[in-house]
Amino acid sequence: MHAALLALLLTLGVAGLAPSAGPPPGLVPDPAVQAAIGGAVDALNAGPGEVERREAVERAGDLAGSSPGGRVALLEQLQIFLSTARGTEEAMGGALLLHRLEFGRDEILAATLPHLVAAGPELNKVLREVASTVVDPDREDDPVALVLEAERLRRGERKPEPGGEESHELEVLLRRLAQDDSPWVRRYAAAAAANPME
Amino acid sequence: MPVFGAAVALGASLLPAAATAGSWPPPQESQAVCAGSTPGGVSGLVVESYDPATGAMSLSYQPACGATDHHIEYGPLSAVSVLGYSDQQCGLGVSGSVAAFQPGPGSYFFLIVASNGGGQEGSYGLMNMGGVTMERPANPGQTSCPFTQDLSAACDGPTPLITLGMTAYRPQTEAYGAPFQRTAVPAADLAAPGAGVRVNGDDDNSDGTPDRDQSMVTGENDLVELVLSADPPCANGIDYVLTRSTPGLQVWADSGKQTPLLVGTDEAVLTFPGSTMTVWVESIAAGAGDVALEARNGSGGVVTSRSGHFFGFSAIVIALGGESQVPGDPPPEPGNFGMFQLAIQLYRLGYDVHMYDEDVVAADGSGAAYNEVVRAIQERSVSRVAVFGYSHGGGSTVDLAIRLNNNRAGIGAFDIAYTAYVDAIRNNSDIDLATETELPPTTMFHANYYQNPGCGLFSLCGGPINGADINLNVNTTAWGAGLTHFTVDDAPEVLGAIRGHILGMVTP
Repeated sequence: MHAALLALLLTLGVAGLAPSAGPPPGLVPDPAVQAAIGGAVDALNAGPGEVERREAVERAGDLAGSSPGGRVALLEQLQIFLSTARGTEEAMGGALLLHRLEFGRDEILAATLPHLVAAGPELNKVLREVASTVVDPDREDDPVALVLEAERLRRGERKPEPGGEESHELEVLLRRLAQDDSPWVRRYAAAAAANPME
Repeated sequence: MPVFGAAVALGASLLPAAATAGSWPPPQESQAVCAGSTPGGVSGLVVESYDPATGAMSLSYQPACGATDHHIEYGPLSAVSVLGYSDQQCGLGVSGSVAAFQPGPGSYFFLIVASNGGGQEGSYGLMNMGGVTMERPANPGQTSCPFTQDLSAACDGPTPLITLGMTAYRPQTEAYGAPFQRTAVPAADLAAPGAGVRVNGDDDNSDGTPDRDQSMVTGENDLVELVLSADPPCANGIDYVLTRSTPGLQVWADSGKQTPLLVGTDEAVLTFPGSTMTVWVESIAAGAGDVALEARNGSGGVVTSRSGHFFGFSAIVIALGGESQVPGDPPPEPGNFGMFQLAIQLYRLGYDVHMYDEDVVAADGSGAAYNEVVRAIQERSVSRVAVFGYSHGGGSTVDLAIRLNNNRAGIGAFDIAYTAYVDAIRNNSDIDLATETELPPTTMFHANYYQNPGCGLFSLCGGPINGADINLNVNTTAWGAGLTHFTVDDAPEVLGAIRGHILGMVTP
């Protein structure tokens, strides 16, 4: 491990933010919630009529109250559903649900950032796309935008600036994120520091 | 002093060669002799010279097919009517000449017979008996060099009915058999319009040299399979010859360009290992030409032939599915994955089609589809591009077109000949639900089929595209009134319209 990243980990540990044993566990599908999401998507795909649309709205409403973990857990499950979608019906139907349920910024941060590091490529892609919906394009130092930048570096999707070094650039980003107000951003920084490169 | 009388070479002229009229020497016959054949008959026996002092003759003859040796059978001329053989002169070899045949005093008839290393001899020639043509009987009392006559499989026997076949296949895309199934070109299409082949100017082995300029290319995937058939696989006296009409086509024995057949030569004699053999056709220059399989007789005449027309692709077609649609042939669900159903149809109709999950096109247009198009233009002589897509694949269609157009100067000359959307949704991310509204830049014809029953809550809708040549809200038609975002891409009317446009506007 790069010495600076080790130092960052130690810093986070002092702050009580370093994970005790590696990254947070990955998201696990809840069969009951997955089935409920699938039912709502099926209702969406049933047809273009008013009856079908009303049914879909009701299903979505039920869905919001069905997740034992609340809306954050529901969003986590919905992201799993999107990452394993088979065909456009599931993928776009799931996306429609996502929009319909109107998750707020904190819900989105809580359901995405802590899981980015542990997620496999498909789920990670969905998590990042969902997280990107709360990026403020007018804010240059939006922490979520920085998280996404760090994630691109960490997964080798973006080369460092000319003359730069990936680990150094990542370290700078993570140090900055470790000081963020949002606990979800800080949790991401801790997990990424423990697993700096894919 | 011995008295030498007449010597009669049966079935041969006594005239010296120089005095023989017509096409002498006879044309060289095919040396094609099939395994298991027995020797044929000698022809063209000529007494080249005669020494009256010794009675010695020098002879020439056309060696028999399938012969490893020849011998002379002779007897007294007085016994010619019953072919009373008295002796043999053995070991003539296969040179076709005899320096000295010296049967001794008296008059003789003689003929030359072929033999093989298996103790079998061939024909003694034909005779006419009572108006019936028949084989001369063999010498039953051979002593100097005994053979068993076997005419059952004579290599100069009647030529059997020869049937040739030729089946070409559609190109390898992206690997052979995936995502498109290995598909034969319909026999009726092989002569016209023919089979498409990618001009092999790309660099599949990444060694910096265009593949067309080298052999033994690892990862080569631009040659087209051609299966040849010949029945029988071997016919005595017949050569199976593969020909090409242009050096722009090359033929190899394998898809990786290890063993050349028609490379630097326009003809090659083939040996069929069985009833079929597979060869691979490469295009090394834009244009078209023919590859033919001919059965030629000993004088080079074509007994029968089959040919195929091969043209270098000058267009590329990109098909982009909807979100989470993975290409397959057949697609995972019959009646679904309409873009891929259409892509498969176009592939089978002879286009160079590449079908993708739309995620291969990033929001900035980069990715595998863009790279494939650029390679086609820069390295494979392609000048026309067609792109169509559904849902997010429609959004990716415009993303791809924008990047191609923005980089046009660096890519080279090409037209975006045709584009189509089917209920296009902008594709800035997998969860982007916005209606695509942008026209692919510089498209020469854009068809836009969308459904929009009044877009509201829980609806995904395409919409009109300003500048499109066709803007059709399918919900306004009788056939499309009930279509939704999830079914519009499978509507036969939509798929048929796009297929018709491409067939009419984009030459492969």
